[in-house]
Amino acid sequence: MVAASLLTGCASVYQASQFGGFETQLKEGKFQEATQSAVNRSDVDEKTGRPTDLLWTLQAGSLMRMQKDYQRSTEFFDASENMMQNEDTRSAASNVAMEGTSLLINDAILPYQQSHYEGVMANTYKAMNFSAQSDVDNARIEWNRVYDRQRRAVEAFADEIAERQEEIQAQQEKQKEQANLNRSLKASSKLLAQSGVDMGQWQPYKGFVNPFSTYMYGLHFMLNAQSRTDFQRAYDSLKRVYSMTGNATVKKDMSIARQLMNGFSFNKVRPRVWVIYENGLAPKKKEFRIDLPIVLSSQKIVYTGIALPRLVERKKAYDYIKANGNKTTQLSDMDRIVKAEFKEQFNYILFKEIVRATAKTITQRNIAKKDSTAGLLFAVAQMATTSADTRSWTSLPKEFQLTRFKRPASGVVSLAMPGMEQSLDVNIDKNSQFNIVYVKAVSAGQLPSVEVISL
Amino acid sequence: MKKLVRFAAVTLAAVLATGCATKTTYVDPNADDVVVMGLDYKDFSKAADQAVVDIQTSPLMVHPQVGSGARYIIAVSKIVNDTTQRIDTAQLSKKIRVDLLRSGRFITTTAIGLNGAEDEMTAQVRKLKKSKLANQKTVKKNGTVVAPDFSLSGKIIQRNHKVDSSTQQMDYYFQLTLTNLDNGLAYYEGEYPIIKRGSNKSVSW
Repeated sequence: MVAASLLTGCASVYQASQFGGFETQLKEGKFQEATQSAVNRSDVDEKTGRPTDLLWTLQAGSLMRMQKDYQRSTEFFDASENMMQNEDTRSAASNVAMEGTSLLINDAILPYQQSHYEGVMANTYKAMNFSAQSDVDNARIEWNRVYDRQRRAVEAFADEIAERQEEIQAQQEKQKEQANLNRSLKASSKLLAQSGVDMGQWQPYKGFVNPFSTYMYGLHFMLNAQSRTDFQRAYDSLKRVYSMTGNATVKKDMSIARQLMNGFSFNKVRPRVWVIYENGLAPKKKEFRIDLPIVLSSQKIVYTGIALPRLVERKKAYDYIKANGNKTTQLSDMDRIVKAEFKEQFNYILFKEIVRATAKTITQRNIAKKDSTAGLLFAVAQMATTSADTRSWTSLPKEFQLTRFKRPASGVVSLAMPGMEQSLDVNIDKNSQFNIVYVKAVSAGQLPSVEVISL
Repeated sequence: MKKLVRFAAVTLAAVLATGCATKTTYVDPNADDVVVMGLDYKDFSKAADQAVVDIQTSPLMVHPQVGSGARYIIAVSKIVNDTTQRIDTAQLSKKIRVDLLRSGRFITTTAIGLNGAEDEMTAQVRKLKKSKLANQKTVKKNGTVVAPDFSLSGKIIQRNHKVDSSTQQMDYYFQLTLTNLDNGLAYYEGEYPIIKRGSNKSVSW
């Protein structure tokens, strides 16, 4: 029993330790160290110099961006896109092999499969890297990618649900001699709801869109338009964001885009400053264990311990920022985006866990019938391998906020954070018609990191 | 232990997926029937060929003194890449320039461009006027560089659609314009669509 609990702990402790140090470094504002931790875990190939672990490549890419190491950040995000593509296009045969192995052990042993919102954010950050480097041409390509990923996401959700339904049916068929998976699933859902796992209120933004990415897309095409059609694009996306968020600044931007679309001279648009604020950290996944009923074909019900991921929300750094007296307001709620996608995946995760638990339970019972010591050993192994997949891109923010105001004659934007005595003065380019001040604060008590993009 | 298991699973999958290594071979461009979802040399070549035919057959694009060997001078302006792929749009304009030059009716200037000269040497060699090293008789004079008659600009755009759950379609449009710099009128305009269909498993770039 001691060995069993030691081993059980082992799997989840391993995953927790993977994130533990990194999370602490992030929260304490030790970004260089956090970046190094992420790079170390991204398994950089010595021959090619390219990272090979998708999740940690994303984590590293976003931290490099934060420290203005744009080139390296883009290299990492490029590598992440290659890995995502390999994941997406892996052959059916190898997929079956991998899923098969994971059904014997757990989901955490599979290579990391990105969520749709993570793919969208990788391209969003890359586009902003290029903007920061004044590389408008490459930024345009990345924004086009953002657009395509968001389009694909909506379609993918529908397809995935159908595909998974088929898979559930197939597993059901396979195991029908020994167990009733559908009944187990039904009973488990009820029990989970009783123990507080309720995702009923979690709703995506319309079309699973991230309003932040769509807004920045619109802003980019408005401020870097090559033709009238770019103003149209800007207007359409800003309008979409406004309809989803009701954000007042977005409404004002939308009206500029409309004027430009109708022929208003770009040079006559009054000089302005946008402040974008990345607040706190996105939810992270934590493992929780629960005894769920496994319905065997003999109608016998066995309660077996399974492990599932759940989302834990994290704190804001500062409720808002006041930039020259202008308060930022929410543009996009990353918590909501993460939750909506997690909700889509959860039933499938639960189902796979039940399939696994059923198979392991049946095997254990069969072994125990013949040899009680071997049966006990198998039970130990079963507990040891039970573990939830708690991986996710944890350095993303909890939310994005926004404000906009006239370019100050002084060329100084003063950022005040509630609860911080010290404010932060940022110099913008007084001669640029437009300045974007991009602020990221991970946790309270630290001065945020700031980037200025002048157009 | 976990890493080891993951390694084993990935290796197994990799073995199943690859089978054997691919040998490097030469490709005959005239007999190359491999199609990729992105844009490749075949697409640039096809669009450029069509554009050149259209330009050469346009009555507006004939120099009034063509009989005495006069040629139009073209400056290359911007070709906007509005796709999801990092492509060099010069690939397209270069092919068009080469073919137009071969026709004997057009010449491209490399001394004048939207963001400065493509080849700065034309300006650079004129600085030799002050050089004690250069034979002054051979130094290029000022006032001899020919100004362009036309500007070549364009855009490559991309529209993606889902055909069904396993198929997506990429519509690429190569849009090109030759603007008469005398009056700002587009004397030639061409649009060459290239449509591709393929797997919808992943993104197209």
